[in-house]
Amino acid sequence: MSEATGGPLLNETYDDKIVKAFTLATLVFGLVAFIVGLLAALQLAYWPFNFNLEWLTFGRIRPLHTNAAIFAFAGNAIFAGIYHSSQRLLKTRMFNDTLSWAHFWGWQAIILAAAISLPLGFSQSKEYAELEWPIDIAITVVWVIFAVNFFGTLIRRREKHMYVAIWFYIATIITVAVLHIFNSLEVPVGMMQSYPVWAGIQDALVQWWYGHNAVAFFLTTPFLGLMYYYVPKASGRPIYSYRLSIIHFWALVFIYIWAGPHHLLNTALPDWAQTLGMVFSLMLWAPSWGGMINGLLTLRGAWHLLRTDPIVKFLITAVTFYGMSTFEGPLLSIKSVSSLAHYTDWIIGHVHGGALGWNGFLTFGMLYFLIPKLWNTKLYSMKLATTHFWIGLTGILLYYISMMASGLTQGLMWQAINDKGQLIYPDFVQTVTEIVPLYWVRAAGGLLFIAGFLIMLYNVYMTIQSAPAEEKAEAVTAPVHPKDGRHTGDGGHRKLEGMVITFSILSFLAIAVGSVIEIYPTLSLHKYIDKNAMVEPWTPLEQAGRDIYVKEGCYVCHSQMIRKLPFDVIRFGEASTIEESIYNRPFQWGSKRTGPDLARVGGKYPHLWHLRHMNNPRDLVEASLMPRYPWLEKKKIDFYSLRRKFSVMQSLGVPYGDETVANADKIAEEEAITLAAELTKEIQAAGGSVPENLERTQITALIAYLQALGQKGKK
Amino acid sequence: MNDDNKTTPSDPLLLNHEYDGIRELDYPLPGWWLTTFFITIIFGIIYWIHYDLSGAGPTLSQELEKDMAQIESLRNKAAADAPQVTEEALAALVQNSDAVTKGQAEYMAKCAACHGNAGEGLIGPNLTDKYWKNTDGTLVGMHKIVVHGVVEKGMPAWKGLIPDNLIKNVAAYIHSLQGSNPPNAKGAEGTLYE
Repeated sequence: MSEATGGPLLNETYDDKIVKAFTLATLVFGLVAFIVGLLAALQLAYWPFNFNLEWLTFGRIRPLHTNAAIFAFAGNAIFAGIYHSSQRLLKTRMFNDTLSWAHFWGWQAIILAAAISLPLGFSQSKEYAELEWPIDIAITVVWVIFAVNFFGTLIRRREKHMYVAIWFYIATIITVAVLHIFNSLEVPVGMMQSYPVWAGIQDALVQWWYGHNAVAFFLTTPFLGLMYYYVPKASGRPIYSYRLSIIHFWALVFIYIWAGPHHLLNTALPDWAQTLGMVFSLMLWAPSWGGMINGLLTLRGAWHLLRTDPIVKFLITAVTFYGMSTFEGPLLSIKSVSSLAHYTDWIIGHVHGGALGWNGFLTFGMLYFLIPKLWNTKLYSMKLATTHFWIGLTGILLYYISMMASGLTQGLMWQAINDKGQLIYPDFVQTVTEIVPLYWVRAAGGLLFIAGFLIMLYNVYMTIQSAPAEEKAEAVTAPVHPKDGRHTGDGGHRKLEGMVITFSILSFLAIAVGSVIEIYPTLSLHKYIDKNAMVEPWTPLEQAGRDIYVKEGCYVCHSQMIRKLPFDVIRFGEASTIEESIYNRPFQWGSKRTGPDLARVGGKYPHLWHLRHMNNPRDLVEASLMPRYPWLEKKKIDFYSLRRKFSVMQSLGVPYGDETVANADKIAEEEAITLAAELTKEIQAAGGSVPENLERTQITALIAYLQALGQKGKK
Repeated sequence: MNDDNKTTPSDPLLLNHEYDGIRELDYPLPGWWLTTFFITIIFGIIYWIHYDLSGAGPTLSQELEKDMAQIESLRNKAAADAPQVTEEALAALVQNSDAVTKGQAEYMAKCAACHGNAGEGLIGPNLTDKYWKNTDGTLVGMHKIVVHGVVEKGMPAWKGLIPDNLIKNVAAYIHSLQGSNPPNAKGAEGTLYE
């Protein structure tokens, strides 16, 4: 309600140029993210789709896909929607145009840096936080620019109260900043390499606190904010329940932050942290559905739009997918369900139900609504938008159903034990070949999703073509000073909606409670460590090999965490312990097993087995999906940087002696000579030809690392 | 900007809120929704108390121990029930072409990567000559090495990975390779057993 007593009226135009820029960036990077996703999907069905190029191996492409989908596609979509809706909800232009453009170009530069550095193998190998430290710093700077611009806009708003969409934007901006900063605390060891300050179990907990809440506060809360603006706008209906929006907002931001450990169920993480992660995930069900109810029931009395209006179709289907995902999420967080689903494609299906259905479709609906308004014209074709909807929906369903079937199949095969106490499918690869047909179905689903998107691009292009040449900026007239929220006689939450700073502090506190309670105790790690089970840290050559493992993104297909589950123990060996990863920076517990767990692979095969396997996995495991890594026999080990790396490790508390640190490179060279000699003997005995300079090539370091996995605790 | 926003002004639940044309109703929280929320909270508290505070519920490690003990007893029973592996029984399999064919298929899937397609030796030793490193050339010895492996040398223990019956067939097949003189055979390793 505009106020009569708020000082002189001011007429101001909205900045829609910035919204247009973010809109176009969303479309461009959407295409990139989807195509890279399709490439990754094809590689799992048929590995030669990496064209035997190291830049296109799955370990490098998968992080590129996730980062592009989350930060480039969804990120730009969020910014487009926030810049568009916030100006209108707050009746003011953005705080500062320069900041807006710095935000835009800064973000695109970050995306470009990611698109170059990830295929080159500059990766921290922490999910959705793969980008190396210089880019991490850039993200922080750009995010602060965004925050200043947004809160500046809030301060100079000419609307007394903040609408629910704004609450979600506030929670997003604050929480993403906190998550990014704490998960990115790392010490550089090179221009594009760093070690996290967290190690092992701490790194695991911080990473999944971040990783889960990247989903919560990058893919959920901002999109709920967009939903609260664009669903009532597109349908012309009032929001169903104001009080529901209050309750579910605060419940969501308070509870979400606790749920991270559900990514680490049945692992070496202390039981209490797992239990917290599980029960808070269950409690998230209702608050999440609060958002769904408010989205769906806003359509009450206008359900016919679902038949006639493609924009409403997209938006409401998105909300439905949100409801499905947020029911499935708590379900998957139950320890026993997780024991079946974790590390399988069910999780991939779950994530894509959310990403394609909720984030994708909400973005498409929003853009179909937004683009004609921004360009002051009509959508070129409603019919094509409807076609996009149906093709896209078919794609998502194919994707989701095939991945759910794949996950259940593989999960059940992993678990199956016969009456003799033996695994029924002891060959890991057997459980992979079984699901390869479903990988083709998934790729087909992805292809349909992209086909629908291409129709959208054409539709958008034609729409913009039809735009009038002269731009017409939308303007608003409102009093300069809306009544201060504190002095209007509002009570309760209504009063809070007029108080930006108090509201923001309360949001911060809501997310801080769970973060501190969950993470703080594990910082005093000594309580959880068995002093008698301590392990030796990696030797210099092993660490050099580990850095290669991290660089190549092996974690996207191989876990290093044998869970406390009988079928994991029978298949891979004794359950992993906290002590075993205590010096691991970053931790590499993994989240998906397309290949077997490697926590105890050390000593299982001769060196020659690994040499041949890395050169061509199919020489040893006929049905393997793994890429070839022949270049590891050519590329040289970076001995030189080891002293610096070890000095960083030592300063972070890894018990290396000064001697080891000072001579790390020499020690590694000697280790390499020894291992290369052993390997040479094996090769000659087998009548093969010995690769040149074996003692200096990366394969030797990698074999040293693989052979040490699971061997460090042995006396 | 609220031209496209048709509300029903008569609705008594319509609040006096308006943002860029967006209005808000104030329906009460759905009962089933609130019930669900409370149930999950109560369940969470009970679960937390049962498994973590009171110590009544088993820890993950205890559950694992229990499950492994059960599996161990299944295995012990299976081992007790299994017929003794004798030289005669295995020798009979060598003459059984069906058993040898099955053993060959399993050999190609599991053993050929290291011992060569014809047993000529590659990563692992030659299996076609009379020199043996970790066994004595008998069928029982071969069976034992397939079952238990030579783990420190990189030969896996195949028990559990290859079904018991097939392990016998594999041993029989390997025995049938004796003296086959495949091309590119790896040199002799170990001791000669005649």
